[in-house]
Parts: sequence; C-alpha cells; structure tokens
Amino acid sequence: MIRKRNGILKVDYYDINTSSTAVKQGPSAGKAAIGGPFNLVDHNGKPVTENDFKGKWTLIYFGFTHCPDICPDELQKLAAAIDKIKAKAGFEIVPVFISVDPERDTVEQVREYVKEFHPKLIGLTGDPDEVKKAARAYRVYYMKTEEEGSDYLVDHSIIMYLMDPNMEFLKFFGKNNDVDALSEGIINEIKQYKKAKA
Amino acid sequence: MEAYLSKYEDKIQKDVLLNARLNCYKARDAFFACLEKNGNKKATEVASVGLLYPVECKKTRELYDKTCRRTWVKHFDRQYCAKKKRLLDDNEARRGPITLPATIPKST
Repeated sequence: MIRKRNGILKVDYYDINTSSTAVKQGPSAGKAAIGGPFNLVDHNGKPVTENDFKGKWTLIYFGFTHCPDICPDELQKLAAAIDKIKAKAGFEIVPVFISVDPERDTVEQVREYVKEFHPKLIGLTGDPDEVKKAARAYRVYYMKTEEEGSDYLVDHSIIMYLMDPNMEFLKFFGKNNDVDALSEGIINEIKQYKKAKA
Repeated sequence: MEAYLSKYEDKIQKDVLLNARLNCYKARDAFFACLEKNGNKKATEVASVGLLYPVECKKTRELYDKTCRRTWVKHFDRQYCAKKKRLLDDNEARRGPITLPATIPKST
C-alpha cells in the first residue's frame, strides 16, 4: 500500500510472516476462477443460463457483430476447429458466441450473424447488465471505442474459453492459435481430462 | 424472464454480415494495393487517422469509403499505418540509446 503521510510518500509492505502458514489444499491442477453463472438470451430469444450448457464441452468466444475483421476470423477458426475435432477425435463441442455489444446485438442481429459461421454456433446476448456480469465472470475486457456519431467499435479481449461438461473452465486459447493448434490443443485437453477422471 | 427490448429491434444491420464484409475487404484490398503500387508518388489526399494517399488512388479510395462502414475504414487505415510503421522501423533499424529527461520531476 502506498500512502501519503505528513506530505511524504510512504510505502507499507505486507508482512509476509503474519500471512497464513497453513498449506492450502486445492485441486491438483489449480483451477483459475474463470467462468460462472450467467443469464442471457440465445439467438432464438430463449433465456439461457450456464446450466443449459452443462453435460457437453463448450468453446466460448466473446465478440460483437459489428466487428470489422477479428471476430469473423476467430469465429471462422472456431467453426473449423469444431468440425476438425469431431472428424479427428469424435468429440462434440458446442460453439458459443457471447456479444459484448448487447445494445446493437439484438436477438435477430445475432441470429443472422451466427448462422453464417456454423449451424451449431449458439449466439448469446441480453440485458447489458447481464452481459457485464458474464464478461466479468470470464475476465473479459471490453470497451466502446472509435465512436463516430452513433457508430462505434468495441475493443475486447480475444480469447476462446474451453469449458468442461460442468461448465468449469479448463483452458483458454488466444488469437495466435491457428485452426490446427486450436483443434490439437482442445483434443489433448479433453483426452487428459478423460484420463484423469477414469 | 422479461424479453429485453432494444431500440434497434426492428432493423438487422446487414452491412456487417458476410457478403457485406467480403465486399468491404475487396474494396479495401484494392485501395491498399493501389497504395503499394503508387508508393513512390506523393501522397497528397487525406484518408483518415493521418493516412495520406496519392491522387492516383482516389477512385479506389472512394469505392472503399463507400463500401465499408466509416468505423471500419478508420480501423483498417490505422492497421495499415501501424504495419507500415513497423516495416519502416525494421528496415532502417533506427534504434539509438534511450534518452532520459534532463530533470527529474519533483514529487509533491
């Protein structure tokens, strides 16, 4: 902590010795606190929560339909990976797009957008507060930028989240992964997961 | 759960969907190809975000401006500038010593 005392900057350090000495028991892999409950609407107007995605593997990407290039590229990659994984390893993964621009991304807008990428791609949007909660749970940064009259872009984290059948976070994949790296990475994660559970 | 309402409810923005995107990319690429081809000409026309282009590319610029959303044009122009700047830096390897300010600002 940094404070001013008597007009002089003073730095207080945390006293390491007084912190807990107990060894914390946790899951062996050390799961990051990513993910959580959400209350959104799918591209058919149906209200959904995280529970609707349990029982299957899910790959989630946050973006917005008015995105010039990055979201279309990432979603194309996501769609291709879903098919590749099914062909190579037989794993079914549910692809999900969550909008970080709920003001413009209406249910209809999202529906028209997602259907162009993959028939199984589910698009989620909803109340801006609910989107904010979901983004916070997934540690997704997003902010309006490039405002031009009523138009704008949304600067946002470019990440795909692999969630296990309990909708718990397993791994994330950044923009630098191509379709093959993404597919291989996901196949390996799922195989390892299954092995650990067996 | 209440259906959420949006003031954009009735309109679908088609200019962000696949066909529109592809047309925009084509127009954009034509413009940047023209820039590359005419790189030696003097850049006098104003594009956006500080990008200038030679008058030889006016036609492609107009098509690009017409086909793509303005926020997208600015985004792509900025991307192009950043790419050009990176290439210039690498080619000329202008990396000198770091300079510090002459006086250290007083802390309050």
